[in-house]
Amino acid sequence: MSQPPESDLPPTDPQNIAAMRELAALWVQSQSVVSAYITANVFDLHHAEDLLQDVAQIVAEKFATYDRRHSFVAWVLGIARNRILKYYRTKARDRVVLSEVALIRLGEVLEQHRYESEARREALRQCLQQVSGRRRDVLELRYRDNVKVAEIGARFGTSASAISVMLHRIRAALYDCIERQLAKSGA
Amino acid sequence: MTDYDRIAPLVSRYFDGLSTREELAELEERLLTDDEFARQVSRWCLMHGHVAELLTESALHQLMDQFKSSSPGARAEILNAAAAAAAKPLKSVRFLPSAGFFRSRILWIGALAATVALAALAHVLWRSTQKAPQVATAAKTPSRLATLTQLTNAVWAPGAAPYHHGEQLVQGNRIALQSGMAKITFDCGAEIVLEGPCDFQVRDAMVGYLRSGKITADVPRRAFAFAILSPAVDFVDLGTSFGLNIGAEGHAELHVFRGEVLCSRPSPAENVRNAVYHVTANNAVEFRPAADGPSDIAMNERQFADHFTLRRGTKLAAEPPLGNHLALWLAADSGVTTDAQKRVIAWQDILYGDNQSGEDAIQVEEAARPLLVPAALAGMPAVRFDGNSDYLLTTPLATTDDQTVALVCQFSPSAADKTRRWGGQLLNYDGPPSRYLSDTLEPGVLQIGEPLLESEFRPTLFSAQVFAGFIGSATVESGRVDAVPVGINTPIVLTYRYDLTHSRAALAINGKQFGESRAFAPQAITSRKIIGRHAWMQNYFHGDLAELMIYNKALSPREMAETTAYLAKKYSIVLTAANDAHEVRP
Repeated sequence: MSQPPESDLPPTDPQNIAAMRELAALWVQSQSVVSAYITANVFDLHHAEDLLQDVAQIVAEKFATYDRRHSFVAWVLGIARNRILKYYRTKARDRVVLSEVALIRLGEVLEQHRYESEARREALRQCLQQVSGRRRDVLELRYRDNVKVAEIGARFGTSASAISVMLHRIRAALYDCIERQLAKSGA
Repeated sequence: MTDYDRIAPLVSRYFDGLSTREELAELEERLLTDDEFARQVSRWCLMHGHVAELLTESALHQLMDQFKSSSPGARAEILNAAAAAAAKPLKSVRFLPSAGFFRSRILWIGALAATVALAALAHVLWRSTQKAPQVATAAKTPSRLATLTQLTNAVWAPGAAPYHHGEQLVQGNRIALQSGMAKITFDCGAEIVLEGPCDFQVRDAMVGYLRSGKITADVPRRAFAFAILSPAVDFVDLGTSFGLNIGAEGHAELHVFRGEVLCSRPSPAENVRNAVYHVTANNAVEFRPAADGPSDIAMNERQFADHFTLRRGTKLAAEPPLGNHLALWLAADSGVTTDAQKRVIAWQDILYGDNQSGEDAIQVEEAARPLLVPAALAGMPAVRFDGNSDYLLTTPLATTDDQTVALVCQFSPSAADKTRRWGGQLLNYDGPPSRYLSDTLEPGVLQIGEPLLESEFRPTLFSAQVFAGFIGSATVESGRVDAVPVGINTPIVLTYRYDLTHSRAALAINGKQFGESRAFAPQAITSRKIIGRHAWMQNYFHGDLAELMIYNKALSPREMAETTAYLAKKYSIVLTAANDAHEVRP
């Protein structure tokens, strides 16, 4: 190993480090909303993860251009929206997706609810413990294993629409449970 | 049924990719015209994302908890179990550990650093030898403090435990040679060469105890305040190189080759301070049993000549053009120690130019040792990694934000196996204890090899980058450049230049640049470097490595050209005209 001269020793650029700290802090506050936005619009969870990674990469690289007079979440959601549209455009996906104007609207509303995200997540953690049996299996196949609805139906010997209905009922029950948990805690 | 109850299933169907165009149109209209509905949809979106996160979280926590205590070699079962449990490709296992996990890890690292600092401070303040080690005994399980990096004609003293080349040394390990020589490399960077008869003990991360015998110590700046204690005199190094000869009945000689050493008689009690003597470069002193202080003696480097030879290794036939900022240099035609099956135990870092401390690459586990093949690559020897279990680890090596890596390698036929799904890694700067970067505040990890993940994997294609950490669950790659597949049994010179100062990174093969990308993440760190695999994923390199050079700077174009030409000439590799840059990643 060589003995690097003092000028080579890290860190070399305090401004850069300060910017990275600021970025990390901002991202931690917004990541949940950005993730929800992408996951809602890209039903393949692996692809949604890839898009989230792309967005994070772009945000990290372009952070120097971020205008601090505007909302960071809105800026990131704008990047995410463009990536979602590009994803459907370039990959010729066979799924219909919300129009750009509807995606903008959804981003606006999500941004307004970003402060609720952590409380909702913790409430959901409790609620998920109440899901068991076949419902739990379906939920895990869809969310943990990224299995398509039709395939879940095939595995359980039932139709895709039956699984779709089941998934909706589970979600509706979870949604109600979250609301109850939040009301109980006064959040 | 309320209106919302009727329309809520449309949201669910949208999440699952099942919406018809009519359903989508209705959803969109309500989203744009009904604020309350839009708010409800946004909450459903949050829940949808959270369910995905939480359902994978427990499995990942289990995985990460095991990483905390495992060495890379032990992780096969962990990943296999995780892969089976998750029943999905590793691609999707993007680690999203809890903040708590990383908080505990960071605290642990901080505590470790504090322990080292306290131990050093304690000795600088001349506490007694019996008091100082208490700092380190707080650790419940013995952890590696040093590595036995060389052994030459070693005969162990009667009753002393024998050690193997490459053995990991923990607190209390005693190296007692009757004859022969050994080199110990502490994780802090200090190198100690022992010459038998000699009795030496590893006391702490920054402390050795020399009961008797002759040693030399080379201590880098980062191991400032490294201490050698002896029965009659304690020595504290201030970033230097020195020799010690401890005789019977309290006789001690100190010869300082470079820098400065402090020495003193051990204190009889914690609050008693004995006189401290400074000995500077090209001076020598001796302590006699009857006298308190040292007396000057003639400097005698010759008595340590064998030590210098052992550290420097073999003289090379040809020297590279650039020794400036050289940090590591491994060449398979020099300083490779093998076992009876020609498998590599240690690969000696060649000391040349600025590279004056040896961070040898070592493999202790027999099953993980790569093979030394005499005429593997253009008639020259190379170290062959089998793609299944082989890898080497250097001792901790300090590397800077700006880096240049130059290497000569080739892929083996097994690299083209059709069943391969993930890329193998040739070089990774995140040796154990691996850091599993929690965010972009930590230094990044330089990586060179095939693209790791199934979705990006292309056999024999080299990719280089600094993995900059996670932002949430997303990974950030800095300075990533991909080349093209080079094929099997094709020797190449690969150079990767990461220039943080000027925000550019470039990858070249045989002198031809395959693109340039933006380097934005710092990566300076002292870490063990892994050769032949990823830090914790089971992604091994299939191929031969003949030479590896790491520079603690971004080489200039002229220096790059000269280094490339040197390696190409040595391994008879024809260079490509370096006139066309290619793809530029955003």
